[in-house]
Amino acid sequence: MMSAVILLSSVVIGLVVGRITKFELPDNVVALILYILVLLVGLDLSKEKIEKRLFKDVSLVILSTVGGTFLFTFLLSFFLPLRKLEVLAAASGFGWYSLSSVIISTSYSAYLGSISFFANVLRELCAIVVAPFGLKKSKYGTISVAGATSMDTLLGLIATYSNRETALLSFGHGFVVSMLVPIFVNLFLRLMKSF
Amino acid sequence: MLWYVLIVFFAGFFAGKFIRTQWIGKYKVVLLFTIFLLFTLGLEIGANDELFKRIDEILLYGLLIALFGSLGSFLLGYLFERFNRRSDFKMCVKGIPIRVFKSDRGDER
Repeated sequence: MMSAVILLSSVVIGLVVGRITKFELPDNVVALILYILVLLVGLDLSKEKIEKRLFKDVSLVILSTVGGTFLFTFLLSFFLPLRKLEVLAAASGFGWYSLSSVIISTSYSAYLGSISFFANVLRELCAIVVAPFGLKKSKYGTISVAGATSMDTLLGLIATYSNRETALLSFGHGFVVSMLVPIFVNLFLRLMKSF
Repeated sequence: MLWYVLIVFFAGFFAGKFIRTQWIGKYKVVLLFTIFLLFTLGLEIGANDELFKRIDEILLYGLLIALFGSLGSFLLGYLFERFNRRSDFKMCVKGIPIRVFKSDRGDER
């Protein structure tokens, strides 16, 4: 619980500091920190043996991420002044805001790109808030909420609040879901052009 | 980007087989770097003027999509986990599990 507050406030502090100082980091600083984090988690996970069971778990979690996201956002799309496919395209970042929003902004519209950006940033925030409690209730569910970020940003958090096996599951899931992001975004954008 | 993340992860994964890694868990290095990463994330959004222009509706729609997507994922994940666990318990001989379900061992740290 305490860690969740610290993590969330580190985002908010960053936001406020960025707003006031307009300080823009060089492009590769965030990426560099991310790589160090992923390297550390990789080192930490190296002592774990990969079992066959993991593949079944990974497939089930991927299914719940993709199925759950599209099912619920499709229901939501009936109540939003956006096209159904637009809502689905915005949701198919699965938390990977930098990729989905850039694809949508450049090949469809900057407006939907920004919505996609926030939808995915907020999904990541959601996962940060949910992770400490959620992992106790359902490991699959929490990893699903994290979506594509379960292999990078959320991996550290999930590793902290669970065991190595769950962290490995989280990485495997994030890996596959990350590869699905450009596929789904492009699919929905293409469908929109043809309908 | 995705490929670099993968390469770095597997580099760590294989290097860890040969070097000592206990210090990572002991000193909470992962948590420290996560905090640092989230701070830079906030910094990037805060410094970008474009994103703060049509903030109200963008934020509302974004929030709703995020909440519904998260809720759907969590519910489905929860259901699958329960379903999966039940199928594990079927592997019993006269009520005694022949295989211990791994996540019931509790946390390792």
